[in-house]
Amino acid sequence: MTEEEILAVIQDVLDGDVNAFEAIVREYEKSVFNLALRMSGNREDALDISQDSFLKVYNSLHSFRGESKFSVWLYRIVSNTCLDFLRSRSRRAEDSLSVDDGESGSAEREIRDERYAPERQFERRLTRDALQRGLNTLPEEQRKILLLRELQGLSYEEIGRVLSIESGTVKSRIFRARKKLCEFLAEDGNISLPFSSAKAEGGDTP
Amino acid sequence: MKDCAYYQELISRLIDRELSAEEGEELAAHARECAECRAVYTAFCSLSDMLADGTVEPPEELSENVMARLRRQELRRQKPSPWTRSRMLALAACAALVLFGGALAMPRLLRSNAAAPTAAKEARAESAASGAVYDNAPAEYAMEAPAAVNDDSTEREGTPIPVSDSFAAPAADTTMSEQEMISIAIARSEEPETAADIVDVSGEGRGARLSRLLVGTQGDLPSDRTPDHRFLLRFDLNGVSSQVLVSVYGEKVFFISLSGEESDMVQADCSWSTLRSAIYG
Repeated sequence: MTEEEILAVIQDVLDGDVNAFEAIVREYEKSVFNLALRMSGNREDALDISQDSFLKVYNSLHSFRGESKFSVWLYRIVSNTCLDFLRSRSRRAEDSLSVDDGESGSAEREIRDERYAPERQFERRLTRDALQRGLNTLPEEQRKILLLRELQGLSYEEIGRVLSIESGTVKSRIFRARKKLCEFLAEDGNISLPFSSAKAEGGDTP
Repeated sequence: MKDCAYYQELISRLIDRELSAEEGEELAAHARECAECRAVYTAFCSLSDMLADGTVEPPEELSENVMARLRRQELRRQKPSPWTRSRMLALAACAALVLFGGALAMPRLLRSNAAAPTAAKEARAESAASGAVYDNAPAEYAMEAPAAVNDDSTEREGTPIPVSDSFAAPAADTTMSEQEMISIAIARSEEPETAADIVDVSGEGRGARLSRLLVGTQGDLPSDRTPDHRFLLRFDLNGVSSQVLVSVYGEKVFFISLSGEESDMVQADCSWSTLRSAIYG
């Protein structure tokens, strides 16, 4: 949806059409869920966080003034919901920051997996678990900032607005998060730090 | 000379497309000389790929749960949007009308002490005279409906509900009477059984205002007493006849929809005074 279309939907919702909100949920559920999944490490919590986030978005929709992009406003709510959730969870149980059953259901649900041979799927699964373990070792602020960039594709300036921090802080936190995560994955054997120059010199950014 | 940590931060920004052209050239010059930084670039790219690769489809229940919770929340609200509960009630009432098809032309048998201002009588007489009450009834019933007037309205206490006069048509034996339908609705709502009257404001352009008042939440009936007033409220909304049973206990108002399968009862958000003025005002 374009920003104009989103604004039109928001107006319908504010005019009392609760069903119109479904278009917003559909538009953002994937990125919200994936952000929540990476932040929380398991599907069950990610589902709770996503649902709570959308309810908060709905209930504070009247306060969206259109000063920033809707997505930036929305991710701020999601991001705060994630942190609130993780804090209350860590108060409940210290041991819950694990990947546990989190990804077991998602692997099967992913259509893309079908293309891969079983051993490749297994490999991917291990890599993904390692990635999640690595993410879990990052401080929340670093994890969140990296995910907003990598999953949501927000610019440094937008991330700064979501988190109310300077964009200079954004760039250093993202860098530290990447570095730490790569070191973790390298130790774990899931990422190599090969001295192959081909990719480096190609300037082939994702 | 700047150390590798400086260049590696540039690499991070390169991946994020947050690098200026000058910085890009500076980085490229360093990377040609530094294998470690090239490896870091590769590692950062792999990390991005891994993160993107792990993207999953959200569970189907996500949007379903969100929308279901929002709809429930809206129903619970004390001041709901007029297009939630009222629409349901109006639809239920419309559905009831279909079942009531034959009943439209039936004699109105019930009397109660429902008090209505005389203004309604005048309005009703006018409406009945113009045949407005039959506008949405099947043609055969309109044809069959005689102009006979049931004069017993003067026997009632309080002000009569004149709309009943226009329903003094012969009853069709095979069809469930309006009284029976109302009795069933009352029984389902577990209201004390008393008679019901009919208040018909069809053709008066009050439908939109009334439908906005047909909003309520789950509430408990005063079980120890009969209602002060009870009447079948008939109105039209966008050219469609609708009806709902209204029970009044002091200032509390309950709406009971007369759908065939089950009755839906809610306590009105508005007071009896407000509803009364919308009906008769």
